[in-house]
Amino acid sequence: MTTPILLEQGFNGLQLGMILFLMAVGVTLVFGIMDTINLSHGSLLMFGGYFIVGAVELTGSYGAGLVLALFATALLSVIVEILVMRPLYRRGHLDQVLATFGLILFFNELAVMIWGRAPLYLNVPGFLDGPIDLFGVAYPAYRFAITAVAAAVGVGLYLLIGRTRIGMLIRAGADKRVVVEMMGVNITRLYTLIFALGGVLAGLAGIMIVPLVSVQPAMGDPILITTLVVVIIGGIGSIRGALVGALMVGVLDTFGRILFPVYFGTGTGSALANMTIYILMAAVLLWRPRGLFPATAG
Amino acid sequence: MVDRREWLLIVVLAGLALAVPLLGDTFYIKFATRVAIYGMAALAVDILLGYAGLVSFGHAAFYGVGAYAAGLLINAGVVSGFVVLPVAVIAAALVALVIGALSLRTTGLYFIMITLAFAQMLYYVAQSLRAYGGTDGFALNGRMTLGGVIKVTDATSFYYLCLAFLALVVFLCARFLKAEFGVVLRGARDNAVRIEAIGFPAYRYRLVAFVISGAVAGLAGALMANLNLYVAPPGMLNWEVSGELLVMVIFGAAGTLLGPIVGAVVFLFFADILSSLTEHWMILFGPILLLRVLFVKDGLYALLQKAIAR
Amino acid sequence: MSAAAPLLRIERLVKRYAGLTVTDDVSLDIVEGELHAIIGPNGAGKTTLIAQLAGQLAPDGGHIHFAGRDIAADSPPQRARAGIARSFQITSIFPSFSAEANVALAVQGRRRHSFRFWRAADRDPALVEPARRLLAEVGLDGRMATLARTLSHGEHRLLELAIALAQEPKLLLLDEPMAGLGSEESKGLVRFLRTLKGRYTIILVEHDMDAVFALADRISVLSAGRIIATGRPDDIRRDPAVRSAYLGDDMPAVEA
Repeated sequence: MTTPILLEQGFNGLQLGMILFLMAVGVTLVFGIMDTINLSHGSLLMFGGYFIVGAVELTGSYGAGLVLALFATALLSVIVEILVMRPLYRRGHLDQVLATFGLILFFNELAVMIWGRAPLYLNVPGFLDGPIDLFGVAYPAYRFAITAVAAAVGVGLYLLIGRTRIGMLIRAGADKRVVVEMMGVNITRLYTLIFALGGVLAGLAGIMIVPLVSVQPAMGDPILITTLVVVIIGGIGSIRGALVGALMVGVLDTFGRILFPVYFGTGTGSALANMTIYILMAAVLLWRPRGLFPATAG
Repeated sequence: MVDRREWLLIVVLAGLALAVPLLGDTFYIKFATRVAIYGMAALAVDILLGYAGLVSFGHAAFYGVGAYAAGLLINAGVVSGFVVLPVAVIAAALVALVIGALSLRTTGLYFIMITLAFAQMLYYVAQSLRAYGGTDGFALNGRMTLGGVIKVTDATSFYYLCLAFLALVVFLCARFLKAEFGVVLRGARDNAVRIEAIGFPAYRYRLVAFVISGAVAGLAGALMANLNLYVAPPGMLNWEVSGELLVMVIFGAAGTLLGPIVGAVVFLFFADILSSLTEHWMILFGPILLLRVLFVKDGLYALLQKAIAR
Repeated sequence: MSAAAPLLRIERLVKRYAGLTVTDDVSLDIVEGELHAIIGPNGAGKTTLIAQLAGQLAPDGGHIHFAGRDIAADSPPQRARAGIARSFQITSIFPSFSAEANVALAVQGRRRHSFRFWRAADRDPALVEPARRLLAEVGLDGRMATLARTLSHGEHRLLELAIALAQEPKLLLLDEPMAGLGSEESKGLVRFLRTLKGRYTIILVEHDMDAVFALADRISVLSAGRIIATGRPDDIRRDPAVRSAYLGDDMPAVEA
């Protein structure tokens, strides 16, 4: 294990963590504010990936494709919120789990019907092709860009939630739905906004990872489950928790995959590597059953 | 708990189940065997969902562990069912003990997510076991034997064996759910605060229920391994399986013992019929599930119960 | 009053919620066999105090001694076993069970454990008989088989009480048992509570002053988390600090 390799893996862990962060924001906000679980959040990542491929092919330009894909994801999120999520807010968690499970099945099959089962590929946009020098390591510029974009999103969220009226409503919505309603705010539209925000971020994550892993049906679902691990570790309803949890999971998972096989051989090693983040989750649960930074008190 | 008219319904259903081999075609017998096994796994989920009030989205874990345990034992030369089945059940129960001990410290959404996460972990672990085929899994060298006394090699005998196990599980569950243990479990579901106030530490009772539920799912997994003579992560340990079991419970009626079995019939029927119509049957199934959740209040078995009550 | 050690000794109890001190250095001795009422304006912290005695809330400071033991670390099930039973201000029963099964469950709670998997609980006379007797005692004998969620509010309050009594406690914490009852129902409940006097040690939190003065051996007045007076009913009636805390609203007139 040389320093450049460790550094490179560290950057990879960071990048994975930032992608998980983008996913986790939507999940944790919807959990924390609407007390709702949406298993099909991973489908929004998947569609983000499909949309960018289609949009780039349509427009011939990555920039235009990006804008189009983000817009399409936002639109899809709003449609899902209005048609499926709204009736579910009042229901119990079981109904939410089953309904959004049905949605996943539908979405995955829809993707197969439209784009087929084989993975679709996208090239790294030209201006981001090639390595950059990061602390002496030659690191892919594209991966760095992903991390930077997600970090910028994080800063933007911090400003949005901490400094704007909408952000205050989001924070208030978590605790006092009645108060927010009495302030004359249309809670229905607020929920749509929150859901769409999470959906766009999931779509963005999907858009960004296509050049790395391609896009195929059901790809978002395992990522969603990892996102759940992130949210459990970070605490429901907390953006800060989502960030900390995502970084912990991203870095630990990346290093676990490298180091465990080195010390334990390919068999046991890779089995252990797969268990790393869940062992972390179990450890956090033993110490803090509600996660590291749960948004609501007690 | 079960009145005379419902007994009639049960007898009719049991009669239909017993009569399946009369159809002669191995296809139907194997289908019915799958129904019986999935019905058992769905019943395991319902013990927690309908009686303890816990939504477990991770039962694929116990089902898969039971299947793998059975497969590994048989391929290692231990073919006696009198060893394979108990070991598979105990293995699944132990995994349920560990996962349950951790998960039951949480409630609500946390609990659902954690059960899902742990099951997914086991899926990845199984995938990484190259020695046992990784994602492709492995074939069983043969079916377990039951000491030559009970023949299980042909489809009909194995079907009746599974049916017998299912009936045994239903019977035992009916007993403990009405006994002191079951009453506490249901009380904890009704009112978690009051059950503690009158002297019951709810966590312990829920954990025991979780372990029992895991054990039943493990038995189902072991039987399925014997049916298919194949064990692999996809189809047994993947998270969709956990979802499908929940769907079976809901389709049939949660909070009943026969509901999940009826739900398994409905689900597998749908899957088989719809998939023969189109390769893309899931596109119909997704919305069907959604509509069922949003607009239909009762599962099929509950509807049957109401129908005969008139 | 006797010089024997108190059954319950609350010592300098403190509880804080988000900057507010809800229980402010509360000390109180409850004598065995007495019916001790706790009254006070809304928001005084009465239910918070009960919750700390019952083990639902952990205090931030102070001690609770029950039958000579410090029970601060005891969970609610442990306190139930030690002999403390509680009824809830907002009805807290088992809705999907019959009235009889509700009470039988509380009787069952007295057993060391309930890890029994074979014998049907509703056929066990050791559970069912005491349940039926208690329901008859509170006046619910016609409603034993009724599903608890379909009972009327008044019947709920009686069931609420029956469940707590089924625990055969040494100490009964009654949190506003008359909440939401009409005048006739309240009078009936007062009559019933009077039959409990002496058989149990009771802490009664109530707003209904007629009931309080009819039943209490001693009264403590809680205001803004502090006990501002403790004493016999007549003394409390006359206490100027108490009158001002209540702004004269609820207190029955002083007898000449």
